[in-house]
Amino acid sequence: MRITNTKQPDSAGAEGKMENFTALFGAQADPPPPPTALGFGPGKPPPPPPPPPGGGPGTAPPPTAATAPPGADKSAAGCGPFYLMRELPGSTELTGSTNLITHYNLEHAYNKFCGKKVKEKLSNFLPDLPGMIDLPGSHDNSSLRSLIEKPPILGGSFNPITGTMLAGFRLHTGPLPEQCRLMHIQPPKKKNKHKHKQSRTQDPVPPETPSDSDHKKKKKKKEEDPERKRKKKEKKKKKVRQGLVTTAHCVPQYLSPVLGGVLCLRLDPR
Amino acid sequence: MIFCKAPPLPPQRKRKSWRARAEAGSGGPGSRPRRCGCGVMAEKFDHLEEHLEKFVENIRQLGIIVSDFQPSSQAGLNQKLNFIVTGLQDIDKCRQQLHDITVPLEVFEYIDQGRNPQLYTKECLERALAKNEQVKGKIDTMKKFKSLLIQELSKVFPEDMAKYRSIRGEDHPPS
Repeated sequence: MRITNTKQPDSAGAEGKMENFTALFGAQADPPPPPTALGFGPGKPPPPPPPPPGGGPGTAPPPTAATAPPGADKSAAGCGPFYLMRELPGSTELTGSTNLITHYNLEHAYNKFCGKKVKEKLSNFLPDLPGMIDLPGSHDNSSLRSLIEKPPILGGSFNPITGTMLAGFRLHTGPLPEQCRLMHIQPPKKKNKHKHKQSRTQDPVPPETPSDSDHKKKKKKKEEDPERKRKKKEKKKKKVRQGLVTTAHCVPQYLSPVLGGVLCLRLDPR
Repeated sequence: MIFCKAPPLPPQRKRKSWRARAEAGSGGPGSRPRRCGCGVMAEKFDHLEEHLEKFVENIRQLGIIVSDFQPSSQAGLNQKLNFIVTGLQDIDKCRQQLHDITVPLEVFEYIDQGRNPQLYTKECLERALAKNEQVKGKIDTMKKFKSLLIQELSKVFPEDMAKYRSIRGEDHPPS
């Protein structure tokens, strides 16, 4: 927006000035229309004539351009001192001031993709596709980009392979070498670690103090220990009865369970 | 299918379709046209997906036959090859129905790099929101600037600004 002062220092009043102004520009027969290529409404009017040398600064009278009623054509003539005026954008016009994601009902998609982490790999999007699809396509020249840039030469239609043509598909028997078995390679899948946690959460156990639980375990151990000792004692007694005391004493303790058995077989009195 | 001495083919996988997954999340690069509410478009995608899945399955089975080829499995191989030709024909037929679908080239770059194409959707949404916020900030700032400018101009050029307001149809100066 630019405000212009149409002051003529030598003129007596505003009306006189306007007359001079119109006289200056009205004399021209059908002036060419101002350029409106950029869509800024009527073009800039020609600049006012330069003030004569006698005129000093600071003597500008108030602007006297004709006013236009509201809603009228905002042309250069109708806007008085204002030019380059455009219609204000309507409130119904869609601009960046509104939330466009809400406007187009994309909140759900936004929450889905931006709310939680999207897995990086292609195999997460297409988990059932065979082969290693996570590798870049440029490695084995299988990129989609190359398919677009250099489309294959097609005959126009797909014809079934006839008997004679199928003769070309006779393969050698036997398995393929390991390096050629690309179809069987699958990207490793992560195990679900949440199963344990879920089972734990499903059966909530009342919390126990660690001291209590430890104490119970110790008690169990204590209860088990005397039984074991008794069994061991009974075994020893049996051995003694069978006359293995002397030999068992000669054998080192760590070998006694092994050798004891052997000797038992040899020296069995029965 | 019978393959003598050939390795037994694993059963056909029951795939959870990517379309179903995308629809569940109403996302994915190719999901926009389906949300228009017209069932015809969804049907076209269903057809294409079905044919693609069959084709992929055929290719997989063909790979299994070839990986340990036996002379007796030649008939099965020939059959599979013709299945692939018919599969390609079916996919080619779908092309005519989907000529009005546009896919951004950047999606292909994601796929070529072995990345999830949903990341493209995510980045698009994030970029759109960031730009939206940026433009909103600019608009708000310009509005503030306008009100301040009118306020100050009204002090210096009260008559001109009164005219301006009358042209604009504003009775009161904006605060």
